[in-house]
Amino acid sequence: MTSFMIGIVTVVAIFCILVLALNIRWGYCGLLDFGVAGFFLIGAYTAAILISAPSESFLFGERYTVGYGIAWPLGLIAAAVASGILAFLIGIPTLRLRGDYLAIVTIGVAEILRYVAINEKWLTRGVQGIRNIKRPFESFFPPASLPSDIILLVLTLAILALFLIIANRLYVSPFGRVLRAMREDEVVTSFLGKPVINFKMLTFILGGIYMGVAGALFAMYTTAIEPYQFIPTYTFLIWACLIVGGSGNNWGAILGGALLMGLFVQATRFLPSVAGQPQLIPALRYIAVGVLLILVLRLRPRGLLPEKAITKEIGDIHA
Amino acid sequence: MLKAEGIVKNFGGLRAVDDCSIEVEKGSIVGLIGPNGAGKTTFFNVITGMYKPNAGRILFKGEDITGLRPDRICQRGITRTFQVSRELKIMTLLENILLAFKDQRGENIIRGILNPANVREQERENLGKSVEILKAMHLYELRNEPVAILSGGQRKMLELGQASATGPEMLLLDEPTAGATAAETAMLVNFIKRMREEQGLTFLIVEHKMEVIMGICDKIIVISYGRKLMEGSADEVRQNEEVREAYLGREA
Repeated sequence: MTSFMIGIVTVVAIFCILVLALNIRWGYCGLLDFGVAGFFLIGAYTAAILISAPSESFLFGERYTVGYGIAWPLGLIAAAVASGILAFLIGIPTLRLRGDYLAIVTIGVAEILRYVAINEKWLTRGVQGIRNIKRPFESFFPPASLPSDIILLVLTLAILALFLIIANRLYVSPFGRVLRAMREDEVVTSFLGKPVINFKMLTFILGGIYMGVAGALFAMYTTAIEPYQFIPTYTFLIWACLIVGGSGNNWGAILGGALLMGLFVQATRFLPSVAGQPQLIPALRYIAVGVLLILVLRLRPRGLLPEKAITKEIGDIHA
Repeated sequence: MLKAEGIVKNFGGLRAVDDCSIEVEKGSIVGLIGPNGAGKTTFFNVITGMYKPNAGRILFKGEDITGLRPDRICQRGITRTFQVSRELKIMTLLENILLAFKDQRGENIIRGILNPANVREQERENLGKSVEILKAMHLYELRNEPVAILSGGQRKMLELGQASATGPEMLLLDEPTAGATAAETAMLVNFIKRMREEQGLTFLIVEHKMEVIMGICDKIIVISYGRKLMEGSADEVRQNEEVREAYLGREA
């Protein structure tokens, strides 16, 4: 049971990183990103392929080798880099266009990547997925043990805390000020001398890095990943988290992630299943998310923890 | 200071600006007038990089700036304001001004996150300057309020203050007193005159209020149907027959 609870907190914290990343992209800068699951996938697969030990397998008479046995911190960094590069590549053609084009391209790319993961079996083992992904310090603590779970929980919470601090500092910085200005009116911001494309690109890449790291942590948490875990539904769940929590507010993002992912998606796993209706609880879960979303939009349209205006006085900033 | 030569801008079959050439001397205030739809705003948009001209070139301090991106043109020293105020309504007045300063160290993402002493120092300096600007505009009391609460005239004041914070050498003002009360108009006019005298700024102003244009401009350029009709002093423009026709129509 303890291990189970630790697991839930870990996976919720991982999703909170995704919500935080979406907040930087959408909440700060107004970038309409519908490809969260794609960046998450790239991070997860990059880490999984690099970290897991080389293993051979036979599928349909063909031999596949997956895994490079690289140390986990490098896998984590590689996931961040891969997802950041993906953001850069998507950003080149789309960030010059109007916001809705970015939405279309990101959701498309995320789905294409999922199909690549399904079909390029030599690299990803297809729908079989990658299994036995190594966890940190696996030689000391086997994957199913309590210490192993605790290590991953601490690692995840430490990264979440670090990412939260970075996001908060960025929000109040002059960089963040330009992002918030662009969110309101890109044209005005560019006429005030700000190269808006550069700001968008950096924001998009930073969001990608966050999501990539979240993917790597997810791979280590589940120790087995498969393409089905990266369907677009997750992208929209992350959006729901951000809208419920409060777009533009990092604490709101975390609250939304904890509330939706924790209470609604994870904790409902403890509910006893209804006899003869095994699909009832999982279906109700999404209905509950929808109802919560409608209630929040009706009663607190700016989220549970709305974004606050930044007020300043002379003497606030001490050099 | 600013020289536009033979500017042509087409929108499909419509020629909005037709072979228009103007020159603005350093330290002068030049008015651009003409009937509605004459192409004044389009001309502004071409100069400030929003549109690329189909023909012609724009020289600023002798350098060719034709077709540069808006942010590059602003960085070179030309800042514009908009006909309908487009300042940032959710952000506070102070943030609107703070945003506008050039070469902010904290706009580098890494320095923004680390927030070292030299970023904080610059931010403090800019905050001091912003407060000065807001005080001069009689907007200091509202410094931490969102811009959305301002009246039309107050927005025009803020927009002018924001433009001046970019540290420009030249300002292009598109109807700087539209929607302002008589008292606010007087303040705005006063502010423009002071910026010219104290900072030696150059102005190109589109304006419909003739008393404003006649009162502050050294030179007035009249355009109609995208073509330059004439240029001259306020008196010359007032007495010109063609200008009267363009505005009032031909006598029957």
